[in-house]
Amino acid sequence: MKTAPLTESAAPGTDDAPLLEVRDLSVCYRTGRAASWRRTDTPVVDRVSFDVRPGETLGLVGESGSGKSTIGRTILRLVDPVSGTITFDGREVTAFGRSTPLSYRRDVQAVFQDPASSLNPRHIVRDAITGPLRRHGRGSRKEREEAAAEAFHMVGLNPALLTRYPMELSGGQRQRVAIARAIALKPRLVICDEAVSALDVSTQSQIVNLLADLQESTGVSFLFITHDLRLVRHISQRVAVLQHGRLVEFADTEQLFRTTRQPYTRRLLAAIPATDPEGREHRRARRAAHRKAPNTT
Amino acid sequence: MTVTEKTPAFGKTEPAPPRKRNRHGLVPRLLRQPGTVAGMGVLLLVVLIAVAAPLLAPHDPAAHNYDAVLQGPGVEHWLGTDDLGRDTLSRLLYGARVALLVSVGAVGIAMLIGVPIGLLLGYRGGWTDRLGSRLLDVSDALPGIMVGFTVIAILGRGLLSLMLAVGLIFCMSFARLTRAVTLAERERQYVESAQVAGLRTPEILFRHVLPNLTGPLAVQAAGFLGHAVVIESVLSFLGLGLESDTASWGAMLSLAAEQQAEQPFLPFPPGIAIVITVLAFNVISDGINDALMGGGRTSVSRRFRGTLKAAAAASADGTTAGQDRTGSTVGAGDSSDDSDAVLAVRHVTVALDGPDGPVPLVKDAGLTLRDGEVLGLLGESGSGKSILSRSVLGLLPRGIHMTEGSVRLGGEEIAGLGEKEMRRHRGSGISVVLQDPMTALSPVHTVGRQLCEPLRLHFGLSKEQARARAVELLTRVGVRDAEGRLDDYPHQFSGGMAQRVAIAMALAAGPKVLIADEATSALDVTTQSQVLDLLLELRDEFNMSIIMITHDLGVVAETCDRVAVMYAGQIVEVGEVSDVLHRPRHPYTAALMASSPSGEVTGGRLATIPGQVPPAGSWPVGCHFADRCSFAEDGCREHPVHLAENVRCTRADDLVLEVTKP
Repeated sequence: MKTAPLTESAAPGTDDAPLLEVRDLSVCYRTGRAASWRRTDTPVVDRVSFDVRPGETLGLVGESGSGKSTIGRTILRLVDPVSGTITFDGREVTAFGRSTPLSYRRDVQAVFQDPASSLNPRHIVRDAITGPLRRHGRGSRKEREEAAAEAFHMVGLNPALLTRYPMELSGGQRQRVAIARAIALKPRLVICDEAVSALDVSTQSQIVNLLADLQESTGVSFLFITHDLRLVRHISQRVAVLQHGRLVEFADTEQLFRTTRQPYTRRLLAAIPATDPEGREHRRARRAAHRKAPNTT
Repeated sequence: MTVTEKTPAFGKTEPAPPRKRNRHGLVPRLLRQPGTVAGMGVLLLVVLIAVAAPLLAPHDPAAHNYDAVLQGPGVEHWLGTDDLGRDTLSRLLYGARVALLVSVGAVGIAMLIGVPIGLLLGYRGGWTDRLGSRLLDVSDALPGIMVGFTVIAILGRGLLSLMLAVGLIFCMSFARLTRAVTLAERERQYVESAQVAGLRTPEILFRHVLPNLTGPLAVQAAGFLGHAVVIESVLSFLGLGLESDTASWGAMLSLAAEQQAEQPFLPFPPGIAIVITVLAFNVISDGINDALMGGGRTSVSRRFRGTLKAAAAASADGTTAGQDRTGSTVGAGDSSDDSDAVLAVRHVTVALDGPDGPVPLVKDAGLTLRDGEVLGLLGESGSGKSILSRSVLGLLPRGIHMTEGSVRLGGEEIAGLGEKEMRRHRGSGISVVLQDPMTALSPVHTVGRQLCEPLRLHFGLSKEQARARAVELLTRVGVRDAEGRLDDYPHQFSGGMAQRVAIAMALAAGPKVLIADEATSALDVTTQSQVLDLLLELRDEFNMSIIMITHDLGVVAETCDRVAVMYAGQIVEVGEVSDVLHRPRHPYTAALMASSPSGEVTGGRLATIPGQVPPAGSWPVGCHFADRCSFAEDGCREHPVHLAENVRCTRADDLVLEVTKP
């Protein structure tokens, strides 16, 4: 069993060449008045290291403010790191400079939490797929529209919905469109940032299964960022746990859920509400005792 | 028989619902505003006049007639003549051309210059934005009229320089507005998605961000079109407009001022024309703004209140208000005996005023909350669980009414009470904790002030007593250093702490019933379990009953004594938590349980429920769940299904539902 500390590579399991490698990544947010001379940099991600293998789903979990989304945004180059390196398929992403190579934009895609805001309300949803295809020089206009229909088919959406506006679709359908957009470019890594958190339970399970199916058929890797440990157990092979911007545990899912000794992870696991009312008084008493004990973190 | 059905999603497409006509688009909403329609009518008239001026004008607007100078309104010259004997009516009609041309041209120029500047500043941010914004501030400090003077002084008089002059005055406002809206839009995820896809900046700006600015820009453009008419008149009045031969309203005013002693009627025609045109533009601008905000100015209808009282009285007698009902006699939802009920909700139907008549959101729902119990109300979004709780509180949003049913709080009927009477019950009788604590807390007052006020109001405590009690309450809900934090503002609290403060406020007046509406859904797991445990402790201490509204099966399993499951506006199953979760009797309950990840098994597929929740207004006649149910028969779809023996399923007795995980 492997637990913290994890500043060095502590990737459990076999030694596949990783697709994405994050080393000692630190990110700061600037706080203080925008135009003031005296600005302070607040660290939100502190020397985090992990890797994602080809065809793998890595769960990145943590509570709000743990820096999990910031890590995803840094990999997507929406935020600049302060130090550390990100390597994708042998190329150093952090050394790209101002412009990002198109090939990286093709290989790494994202599905965000709120499908209502991640689709342009003024465009029909097909544009969300054909726009990037055009930028990447894929085919003629007609071929791109066919590719959009194909992507819709893959995510289980009726092609009749291609010409609808996002407002006309349900939350689950919008999230399927967002996934269709992400996979249309045939990426190798998709960052799913709370991608199913805003969905209802019955829709959520549909989308989670869809992601698993896509992974099986295309071999894409997922970095699944979420606060929901129950979901992580279902879909990821390995889990990285963050607390206050630091990686506290990085382990195989089964191992982590069964035998972790890491106090913070244990606290997280203990807080998951069970779906069976049996034994809840006991659980409550245990939590109460735990809270009275001196704070472990 | 099990509920673990095959998952359909991959490669298989769900049917596309028919496209609905968009009733809520900008234009239809505009057309529903009488004021805006009138404004557009007036404007259309002005445009028609401008276009057809040569046909309409009885005289040549430039033709001098020294036989008829400075006449008042008469048969030959309806609106009189000016000092050169030119026909005022004709000049007025031709003047509309100049007014419209200048205003449209000026606003067009202003947008062409201002919008790209604003887009760039807003999107780039950083130093570009800081420098640019300061320059905008500087240009704002220049008086607009001076800018106009300068432009005309350099370029000379003429239509184009007039447009340019007015356009330059406006362009900074457009830049400012565009920058502000772009700053907000930049944070939206569709912009980030475009960046992630590798799109170039100009494409993101003009193809993605710009279309989302049309609303605010249209409001400002409409307003400025009116403003431009005024500025054109001012410049012409000062003799800086067009050559005096060209008919323009401003020039006519200027002439009127000179000849006021001779012919006092002269200023009226151009003056009234300017007022009407500017007013039309402003009304349209306001209308677009209202339509964008989605705020119709419909008044709250009170016509339901009377019928509701009658209905409440009727259902309290055990009879129902003119509705066929078979089977259940006591409560459509929860048919337990309500002798010890703190809160009894019976046959509640809630409807939204739609354009085609009322759309039901909750149908015939009933709940019984017993003394000291925690009752779960479990459902997905759109199930009507929050609407049901709001109707209990008498806090339904505008346009939504309880059309039928009774709500008895401690034996007293509270359905249909007016706002004033309802306020008596809120706080001390029934209280609520919402998902977002910030909606319950005012951002401009300290937490202490917000806590003390209800204490003084309900219990008549003195300032000191109230403060002491507030400290006590805050300490009890787990806020550390409560004394010191009383003077903090809500935003200084973390999400979990703010929710604790909101709970303290809800408890301040000692309610008998606490409604927790997704109270822990936005919190982290560790905070959630703390707040849930806190609520259970408080229930015992304060002798409350709790309605726990949630979409999370886990919250129900951990906290509730009984649970009511809602689906598409109906309560489909009620019972003791251990019964319902161990032996669900409604297929929806079983399917919901199967599709919730338990977190107890690694890997594997989740069970799914095919399709999606039918939206209100398109509920089927029969069982609302039938289209997604793997056990549905033809009979399920024919007639409304009633709640019998606490389950709303015609096949409840033949089905043996086992939930197999995952």
